[in-house]
Amino acid sequence: MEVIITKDLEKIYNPDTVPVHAVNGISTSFEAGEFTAIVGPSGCGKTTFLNLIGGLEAPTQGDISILGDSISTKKKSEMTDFRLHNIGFVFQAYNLIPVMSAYENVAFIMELLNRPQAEIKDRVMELLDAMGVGDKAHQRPHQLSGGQQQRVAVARALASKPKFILADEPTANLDSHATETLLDLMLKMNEKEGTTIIFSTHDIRVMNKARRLVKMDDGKIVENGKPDTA
Amino acid sequence: MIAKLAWRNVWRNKVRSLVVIIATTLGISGALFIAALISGMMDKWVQNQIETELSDIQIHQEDFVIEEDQKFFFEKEDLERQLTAFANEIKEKAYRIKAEGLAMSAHNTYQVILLGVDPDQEPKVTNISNYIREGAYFKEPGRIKQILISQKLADELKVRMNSKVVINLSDIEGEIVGEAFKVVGIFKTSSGIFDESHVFVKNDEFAKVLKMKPGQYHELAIRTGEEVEVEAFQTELQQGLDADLMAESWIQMSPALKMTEGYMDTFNWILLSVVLTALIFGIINTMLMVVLERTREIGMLRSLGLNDRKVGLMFILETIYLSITGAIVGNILSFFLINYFGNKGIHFESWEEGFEAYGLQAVIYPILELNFYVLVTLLVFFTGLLASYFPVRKAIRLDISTAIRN
Repeated sequence: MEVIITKDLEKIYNPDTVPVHAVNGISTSFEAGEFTAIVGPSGCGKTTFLNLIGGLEAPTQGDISILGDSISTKKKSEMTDFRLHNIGFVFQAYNLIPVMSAYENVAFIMELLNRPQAEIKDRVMELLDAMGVGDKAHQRPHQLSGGQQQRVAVARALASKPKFILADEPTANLDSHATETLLDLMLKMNEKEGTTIIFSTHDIRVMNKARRLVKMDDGKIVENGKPDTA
Repeated sequence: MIAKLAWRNVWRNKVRSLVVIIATTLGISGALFIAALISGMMDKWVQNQIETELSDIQIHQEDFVIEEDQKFFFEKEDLERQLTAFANEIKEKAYRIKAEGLAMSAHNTYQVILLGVDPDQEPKVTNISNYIREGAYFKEPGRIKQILISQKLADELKVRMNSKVVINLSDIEGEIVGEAFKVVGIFKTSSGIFDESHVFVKNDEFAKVLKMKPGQYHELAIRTGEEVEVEAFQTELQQGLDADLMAESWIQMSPALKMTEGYMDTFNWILLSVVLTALIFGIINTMLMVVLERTREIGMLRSLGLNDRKVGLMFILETIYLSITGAIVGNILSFFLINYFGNKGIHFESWEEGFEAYGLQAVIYPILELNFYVLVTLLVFFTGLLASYFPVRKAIRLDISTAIRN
């Protein structure tokens, strides 16, 4: 089942001065439960593409349909609510809330959704344990290593059981061991929870873990398929 | 959760937050202390005027007030009859004979107001007896009539205790009379203006000088009970008096006193407004810096699904926490300072003459009503709310994708 469909998607920055075609007519789709890597050189439009399907930016042209609903026409407030209920984000720089513990960071989205405290506690500890940072639950981000922070960030993204997770270069700041561990955990959660995970990378080790590769260059998809065929 | 997050955010940069809180604390406590100082000064001033000179209410013949001629007096017996209905409201009262005249010594002449008082009854209404520096508040009747004059007038007339002072004035028939009085007491109040213009004599002796009969007076000074609202009582009293009698409250007798009290209240609010305005700009500046520093975090929170309302609420709460913390500490600090100096007083002895020239005491006891603290806290709350407008606007207008890349 296709959960994300893009049609003739375009994003042009500075259209009136020096136009930059960051995304240039992408039409593609993503199936439920996919573990997809968007790859390509720096500046090829990976982040912009992820931002567009995450509703963080509005396309210049084209349409994005998520779960059968066009998000291109949604209002800002509707889009915020849509993200809260359906999308989890993982960022390159972890972006945990520094004044909150690992537990509170993961619980944050569930509290925004007014979930019962008992449910929050069970879910947060389940995720932190699954990500191997259960013993760090009450530590603040600055007390964790980069790899541990990113695992907490993935747990946060999964907390509300979103339909899919968008991860922008989640391993870019991690060493090879931490990268390996994180990807294995993400794969495990993808299989266990059935969450669609789309992430961008230009790291060859990461690409090899993906079930599907979408190669981009100059804002366009140039190859699309399984890692051995793409 | 947003409230907890906002509170923790306040303490992310402890030095910066403490600087804002300390600035607010000092501003608020300073403004409150000055307001208390002014209130204490005004309160004492009004109290002094009432206790030394005016009393709460005075009754005269209406023509006496208009023409200031001593031939317009009333009969005590008549007035007492009219006052029986007001026995509950009237705590103390003293009858006086009042006239203007010239006080002369061998060296100088001064225009004065003579008040003929009952030495037993007058101290229950006014407090001149407390200000006697030399001598006594009248003595047993003697050969020569007695007078109390102020230290200031004694210096001007170059007289001392037991000196003679001749008073020249018109009697009730309009004839000029002169009478010698012996200085039996010298007083000094906190008002230089009052001191140089008022002398006190015994009303029975003064009545003879003015050719008035016993039971005839010009003025009745009344002190009401503390629970009595003076202006309302004056209206009620006036309605119960004969048409030729006039009851005036201290506010009517000295409107400038009430007006000055009002000016000082206005000054307090202006001072507070200046402090709050400075506070607004300080907080806006700090919070705009906070938004700038946390741009990426704001982008992250909004991408996770924190809507504009909650982002706004977070910054509003941070701003209010900052300002209210300072206000509460400032309130506590000023409360203790005001209470301490309210008991000990602040001594301005080196400026005593200047204070006395305005009828003020050189020792000020700061005083502030509790509701002023509450009001100031509320004002600081709304100031914080107002100051949060620009930071909130900046935070919710951030482009999410740009903010995340920050």
